[in-house]
Amino acid sequence: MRKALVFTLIVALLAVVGVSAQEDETEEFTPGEIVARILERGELICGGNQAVQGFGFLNEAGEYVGFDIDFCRAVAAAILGDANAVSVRPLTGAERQAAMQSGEIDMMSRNTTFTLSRDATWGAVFGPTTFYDGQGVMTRAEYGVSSIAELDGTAMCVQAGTTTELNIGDYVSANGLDIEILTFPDANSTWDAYLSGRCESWTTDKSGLASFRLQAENPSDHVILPETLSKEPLGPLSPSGDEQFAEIVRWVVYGMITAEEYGITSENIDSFLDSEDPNIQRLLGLGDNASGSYLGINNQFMVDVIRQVGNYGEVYERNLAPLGLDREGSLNALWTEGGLLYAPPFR
Amino acid sequence: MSTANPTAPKQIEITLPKFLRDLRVLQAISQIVFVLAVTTALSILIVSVAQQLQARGAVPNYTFLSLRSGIPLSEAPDWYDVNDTFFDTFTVGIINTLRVVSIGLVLSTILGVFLGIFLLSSNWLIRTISRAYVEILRNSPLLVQLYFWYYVFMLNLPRDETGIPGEGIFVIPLRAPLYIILGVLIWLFYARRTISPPGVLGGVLLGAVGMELIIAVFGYNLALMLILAIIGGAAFFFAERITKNELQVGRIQGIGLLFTLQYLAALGFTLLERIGALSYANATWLEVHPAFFISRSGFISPEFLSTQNTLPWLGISLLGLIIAIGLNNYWRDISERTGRFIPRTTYATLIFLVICGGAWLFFSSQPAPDTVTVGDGEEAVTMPVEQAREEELLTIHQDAKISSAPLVILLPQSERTRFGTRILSGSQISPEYAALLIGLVIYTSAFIGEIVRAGIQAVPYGQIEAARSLGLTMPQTLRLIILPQALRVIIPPMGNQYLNLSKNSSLATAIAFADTYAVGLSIMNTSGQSITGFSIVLLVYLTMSLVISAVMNFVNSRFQLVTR
Ligand SMILES: N[C@@H](CCC(=O)N[C@@H](CS)C(=O)NCC(=O)O)C(=O)O
Repeated sequence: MRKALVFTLIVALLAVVGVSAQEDETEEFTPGEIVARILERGELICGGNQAVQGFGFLNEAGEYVGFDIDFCRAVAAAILGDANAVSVRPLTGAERQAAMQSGEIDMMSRNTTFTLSRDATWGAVFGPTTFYDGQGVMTRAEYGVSSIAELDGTAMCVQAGTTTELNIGDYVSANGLDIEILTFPDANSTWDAYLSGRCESWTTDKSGLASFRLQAENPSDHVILPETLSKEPLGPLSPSGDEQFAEIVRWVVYGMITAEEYGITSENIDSFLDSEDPNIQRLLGLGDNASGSYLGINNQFMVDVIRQVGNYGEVYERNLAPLGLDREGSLNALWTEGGLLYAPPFR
Repeated sequence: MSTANPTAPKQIEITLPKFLRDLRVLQAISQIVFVLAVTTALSILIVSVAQQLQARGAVPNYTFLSLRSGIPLSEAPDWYDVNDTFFDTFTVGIINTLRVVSIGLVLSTILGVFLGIFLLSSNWLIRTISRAYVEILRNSPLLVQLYFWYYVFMLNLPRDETGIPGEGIFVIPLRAPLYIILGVLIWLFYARRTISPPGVLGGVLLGAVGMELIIAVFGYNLALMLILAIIGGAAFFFAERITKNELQVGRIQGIGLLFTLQYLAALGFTLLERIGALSYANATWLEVHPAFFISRSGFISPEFLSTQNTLPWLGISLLGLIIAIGLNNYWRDISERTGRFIPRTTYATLIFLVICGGAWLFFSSQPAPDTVTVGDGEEAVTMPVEQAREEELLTIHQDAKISSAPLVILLPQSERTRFGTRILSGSQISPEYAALLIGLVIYTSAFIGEIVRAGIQAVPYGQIEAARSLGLTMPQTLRLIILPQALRVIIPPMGNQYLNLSKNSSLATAIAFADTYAVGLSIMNTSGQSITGFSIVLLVYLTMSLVISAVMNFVNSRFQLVTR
């Protein structure tokens, strides 16, 4: 007993000395490493979601489907030419950071908010925002509540390890409300606790609320309050150190947005393959134009992406329209239609 | 002539320095080499993990503990809020872990000891039920059990939808604990008498059920209760005239006692209310005594409030305790010297009670304070109580505390809102805490029960026979002969169960209870400090384990046979 203790202490001491004395070159991802390991493995490992319908959901057929999952599929199509060569690792809010830091996943696309601290400490690079969201609160319609302040004196459920957990804490404290905040480990248990009546309301990104509302026996029993508590720009991210892979993720997303601008879809892509428009030629890597070759992958990567996954608008319509998340007039419309989606030029 | 044998092979001798041939030195060297190897391996591992993190901008450090955490916690002391630091958040987690572990250790021990005894019961039903309990609980995963207690049990309790008392809320009237206390008192009283204690207990039970039926039909009516009390008293005194059957006598006396005592207790409570020791503002409280609620928002029980007379009263009571102990020791000395019997414990207890009670009466006969301070900080104003009450400036708690009684018991009160019933007063145990505690205690008690059973069986049967032949009753045999011997066998494995319970408490994160681990996870996520965060969590559990095993080692050394 005592020996073991002394032993542990010695080890701890040595370790601390070792760490602080360390000045050597550090090991991390280098450009090209992630693509190499994806090619070798033959599939992309993508951190995703399993519980949020429309975004990342394990359906009855045992397949992961959703808006976020489609961006994993697009990156797999770009690198491997096969959108189905994806293995999804479902992650709860609190598991994300460790999954990213340990480098065990190639990328993550799981309604994750881009924040300063995550950018700095997760050892990750955020890709372009794919969905501009904000935090909301859902409560039961029967209460007849129309604002968060009216929930004073009740309990609210939230999920651990999310930005929404921290936002609601700040909101409640800043507004002097007496709302008890219960933190659950994952989305399903949060939802169960809310349904059972343990909490009168629950909070997460408004897109998540819309998704879970649809799962309710009777969606009209639940209302999403009008307030938006925060900015939640959601998008994919990849481990830092490998700029090449980060660029691939970034340009796959931009490519899907650009394709929508030009009206290129998975249906009509073949008719664009002999396009004379130099902009389209550069996007698709046609003729002598360099596209994917800048990124060190198949020059015509966007052809695979669009054919197998579709452009941004198609992905949105397929996954999010059924949730009732209207795109028109929202932040997620193209910049030409008053939204925030804007891709730098392919050139 | 040479005596040397030229054909003998020349012996090759490797001469090691002498100290290297010493077994102890060799052992020491091998140990040192081993420690060095392991240490290097471990430090390389730790260093490379640290580097990996450093490379990703997550330099492990402990300075983040002084940053604002922003993590909201439901289960936290009043001082905590989101603007506190990560260190404070950790502190709350540790407090919560200790709350569960400390109470859990005590309860699982009590339950486990009973279980161990029941496992050996000669009653088939008790034995089989406790065997099934042990087998089911030991052989299913704790996480599943916790999910059951939280999502299936706690979250399906009645929702608090109506006022108090009302449908929907499961209200336990004050009578219920009263029945239990009365039952125990009556049993203790009869345990020394010839009249059959089982009969009496049965009588108490019958009486309680009968009482509830009468109340359900006629309502709680003081006059009716008085009549019942008188009938009960008469039945108690004349029981032996009515029948000669001991069991019947016990039964009648049990019913009679319950009827009488429960009336006296009700009177006692009324008296407490008169002298301001109990407050229940808005219910005719003799009708229902809603003292405990079990609902989806947790367990709610009466709450003790201190007043300005609490400290002086506690001081005097402490003085009384010291005097009583002193006198007790003094009388013991006299008894030992002279051989005279003095019922010293009874006297000492009486003296203590008289001092406490006297002080209580003295304080509560003082006038209650007539001014009160409302509002806080800069805006605080002092005004007459009457005015504050009229203007409804006082919270229920403030109002209840305006009393001269040293302690005020505030019963749970509630209010109807559009969200259902909102609890306004009473101490509340959250469903998360309750589910975790119930889950841990029940799970651990199954293991402790087996240890206790084995310990008891380790005592030779001859000891029990010898105790019987001395005329000791079964409870006496258990208390005086079996348990002291069994304890020596029971204590060492018990320590392991305590360690298990303390570590298992970290499953709390699954059911939204903010213990050290759950809070640690949130902290690691928010601050990005996973290595340092984990090291703190580990340190907390390590310290807890070391303290528990140190205490158990100490207890063990006290209970082992002293041998020379
Ligand atoms: N955008 C927020 C919240 C994202 C989040 O974790 N949402 C929850 C609730 S919709 C979720 O997806 N949970 C899935 C799971 O735990 O399986 C963040 O990045 O912290």
